[in-house]
Amino acid sequence: MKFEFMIFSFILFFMSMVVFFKTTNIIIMLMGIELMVNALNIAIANLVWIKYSFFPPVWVMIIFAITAAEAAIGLALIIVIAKRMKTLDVKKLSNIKEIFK
Amino acid sequence: MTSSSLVRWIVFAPLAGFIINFLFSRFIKKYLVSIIASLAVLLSFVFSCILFFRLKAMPSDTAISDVVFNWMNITNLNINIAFVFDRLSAIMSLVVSGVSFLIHIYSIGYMDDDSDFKRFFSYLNLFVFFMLVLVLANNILLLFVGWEGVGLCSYLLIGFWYENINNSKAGKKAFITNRVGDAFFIAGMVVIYYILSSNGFYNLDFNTINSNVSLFYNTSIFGVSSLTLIAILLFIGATGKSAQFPLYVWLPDAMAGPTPVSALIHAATMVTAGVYLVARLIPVYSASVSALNFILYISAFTAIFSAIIAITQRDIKKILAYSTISQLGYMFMGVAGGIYIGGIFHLVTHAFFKALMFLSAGAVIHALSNEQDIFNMGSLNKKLKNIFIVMGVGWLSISGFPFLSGYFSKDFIIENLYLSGHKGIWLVAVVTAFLTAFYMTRMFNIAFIKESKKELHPHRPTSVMTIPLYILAILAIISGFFINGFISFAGVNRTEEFLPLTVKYTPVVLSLLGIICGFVLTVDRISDFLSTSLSWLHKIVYDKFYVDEIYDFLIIRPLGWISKTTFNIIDRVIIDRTLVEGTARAFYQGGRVSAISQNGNAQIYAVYMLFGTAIILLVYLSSVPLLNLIYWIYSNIVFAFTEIMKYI
Repeated sequence: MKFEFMIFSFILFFMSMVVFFKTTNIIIMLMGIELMVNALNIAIANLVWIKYSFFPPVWVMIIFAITAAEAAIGLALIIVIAKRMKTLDVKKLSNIKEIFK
Repeated sequence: MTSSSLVRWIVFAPLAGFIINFLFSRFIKKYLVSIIASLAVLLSFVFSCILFFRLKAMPSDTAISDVVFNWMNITNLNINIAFVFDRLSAIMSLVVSGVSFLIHIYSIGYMDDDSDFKRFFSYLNLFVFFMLVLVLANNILLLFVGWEGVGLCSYLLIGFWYENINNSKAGKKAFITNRVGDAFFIAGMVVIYYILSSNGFYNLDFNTINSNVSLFYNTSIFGVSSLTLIAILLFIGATGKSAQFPLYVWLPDAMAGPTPVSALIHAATMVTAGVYLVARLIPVYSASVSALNFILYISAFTAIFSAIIAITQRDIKKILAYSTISQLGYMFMGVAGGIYIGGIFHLVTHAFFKALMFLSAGAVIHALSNEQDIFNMGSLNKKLKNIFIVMGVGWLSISGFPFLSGYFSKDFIIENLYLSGHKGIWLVAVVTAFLTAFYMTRMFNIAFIKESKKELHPHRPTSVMTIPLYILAILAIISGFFINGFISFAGVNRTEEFLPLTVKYTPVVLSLLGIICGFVLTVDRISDFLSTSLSWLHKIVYDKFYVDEIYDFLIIRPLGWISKTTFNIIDRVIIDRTLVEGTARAFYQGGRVSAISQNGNAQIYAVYMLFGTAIILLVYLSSVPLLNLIYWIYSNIVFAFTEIMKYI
């Protein structure tokens, strides 16, 4: 286990979490989520040093796949929102059911 | 004791008629329903006749019994569905089925233009079934089944024209008043069962009760001889059904039903059930002097009280109803004073002439298109001659005109009251006889003989209505002559005793005087003078001594107040507002409060998620002992610190 990688993942996670909570732009929020997942991925990939097994890399792959799918859905939603509401500010998107009217 | 399965068919024939008419009335034509109903009752009359002649050939203390099946057999209680056809129930079942048959025939004409013709006949058949169960029952529990059943049918038929709310109110009043009596009846049965079962008799047969009077005599409950207790409890039960003093109020209102119902149920058969009950348990009653005196006082008071009320009434059916109450008082006096069979004989003759009067009144009402006020009638002697004649027979009969049936039966009761030593009761009975003659003459004179103020155009009744009237009129004339045969058939030995001539002829003279008074006092000038000079008295009597108002004040209003209060407090406030609505409101308010958090801001949601995760983590970690947790955090920090220090 490389401890510095662990620290790195930890710091990255909290930084992206702060981004996620502080920003009001949906795209940046999505980026924050992606970064959080990536931080998690680093931590999981790091586990390979603890126990020499295939599981951590497999998890990482699975998480990559999920992140990719999630990003695709998220971006599609963002495009719809941008088209319909002409804004990407979450504070103005407080009534989500209006988006899909 | 012989047994014959024919007895059960007396009872089941009307039941079969009821089942056919009630279940399949849609598929049967209108008149076929009435024919089935009448035939069913005729069948039970024929069976009664067959058994009557069979019984007549047997010694007087034997009876024909019929055990249908075992109803209940619990450890200490064994009750059969069993019927007994002895001398008393023979008389009763003949009267019930015979009069019912005539009234069924009459109803075909009376109810002809009614839309609920079929329902009416199925109810009538059900009534006859229950009445015959009551009359032929072998044990007091089965009698109670019939007792309740006739009460039910009475309720159904009083409220037969339920579109008018007053009719259904009258039905409810009859039913509820009867419930009061029934509660006492049940209490009496419980006492009987308690005494009998503690002495090893595990049934409630009349035979068992009547042959173990000494058991009741020797035990006491609450300091009262249980014999007296039973007798009085059952008599109070009978006052409900037979409309005696405290509980008579339902009978005048029961006239809301169709007139054949008033004739059948509220004059001839059902209301006599209480008299029958006392006669059935006469060994019990005759052993208790105080119970007999109780009955005598109550019934004598009822007789004179309702006779006074009847004097001022205007509604022809109300007059007849109060007259029925008064005559029921006579029956109880007859049963309780002296020879009980006198009361039963009066029951029979009363069934004939009162049914006759009710049906004639019904014919008049029908002919005048539902006119019931006697002051709106008049000069019917020319327009409805046949009704006038049969009504006249009924009138003379109930007034005690010599050699008609009412004369014999009433005289017999009055003489026996004198002979048994109840001089005060005798006086009341004689005065009531005078009053009876008076108010009946008044009604007859005003409704039939006097010139009518309005022009009336009665339509003549059809022969299906008049033929039963003729038969009843003949019965009302001749039935009195069978008094000696009747008494010997009932197995009672009557000894001719000397009566002073004044005592013997007082009732007749007073009855004739009453008839004369009835004619004299209804002359317009005299009646106007009397009603103006005694207007306050007239008002009190016309308003029935305010008994209904007293009931209203003493019982109905307090009950209503209590129920309204408990309704408002327990139902409305505690159950409805607090428990039911309170639950809903709590969830609603809780929802409103928690809905504040759901404001649609995605960032806030993200914060919730963070807190949620934190809480899950905390819960997970809280399963770890606290010291271990602190050590774990501490060691991690130290480890991280040393690792970091390596790079610096």
